[in-house]
Amino acid sequence: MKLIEIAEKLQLKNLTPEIKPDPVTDVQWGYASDLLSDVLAGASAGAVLVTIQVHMNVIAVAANVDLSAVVFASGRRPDETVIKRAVQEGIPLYGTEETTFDVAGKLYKLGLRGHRA
Amino acid sequence: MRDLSLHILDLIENSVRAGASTVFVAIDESPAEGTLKVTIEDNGPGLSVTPEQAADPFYTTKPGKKTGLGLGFFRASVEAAGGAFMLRRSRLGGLAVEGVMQIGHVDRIPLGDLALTISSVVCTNPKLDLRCRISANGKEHNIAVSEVAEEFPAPERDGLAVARCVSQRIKAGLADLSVSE
Repeated sequence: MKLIEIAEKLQLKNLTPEIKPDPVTDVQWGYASDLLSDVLAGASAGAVLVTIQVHMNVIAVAANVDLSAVVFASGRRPDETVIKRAVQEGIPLYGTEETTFDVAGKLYKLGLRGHRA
Repeated sequence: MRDLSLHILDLIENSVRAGASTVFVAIDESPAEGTLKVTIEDNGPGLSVTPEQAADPFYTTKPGKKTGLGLGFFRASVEAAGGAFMLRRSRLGGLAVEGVMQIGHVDRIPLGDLALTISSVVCTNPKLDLRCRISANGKEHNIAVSEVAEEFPAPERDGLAVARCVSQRIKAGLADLSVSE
């Protein structure tokens, strides 16, 4: 499923509208973790990360692993400098009021799966 | 990082890569203030950028890499535990990285296996002048690898025996001072 469809179905708030959505790539993998060293070690390239961490390290890890997007759960929102950096790095960010558990469940239902790098 | 020892290992590696020959690691617990302080100091070249830039996860000194997560991760762990993170000039001449955490904070990560961490650094960097201080309640233990090594005959000074002895002394120090996990 394309990222843009996922965002629509989960009614995610797009925090980086400056980034053009990728019209071709299907997102296959999901990863849910708040321990960024774990994300760095375990998440696969192309995965969507669901987390409640909102600091700059998330963007650095996302760039490092080449994540396709980050979803901030439980109403967490990164500050402007973090969003700006994500735009610069081309990493789409989304926000939702739902918890990590619920977002992960919905992503699973849409066909995304866990996958350890 | 799941524990403080992994941060310590990572930061010692930074120091060694920066060319430091002396590294000082301190674990200071203050039950009265409810704090746990972790300090890693070296005699390396220090920072060539501002502390703010150095802790930026998009700053690195490694060629060919875009991100440098070590300091950023440590800072995040410290701040998650209601703590304060600081980079300053070390009395050894290089950089001092310091994190003071609220010891009872629910998000404070545990100390982890400090003895294993330090002894593995001893094994892989036999020439490094590595010093360790563990303090709590006004009492302290100081373990310097070079001093431990001198207790051994010259041919064994770079070997596993020294690392094992350092490990035992750190364990004994932590136990004696009842340092929090």
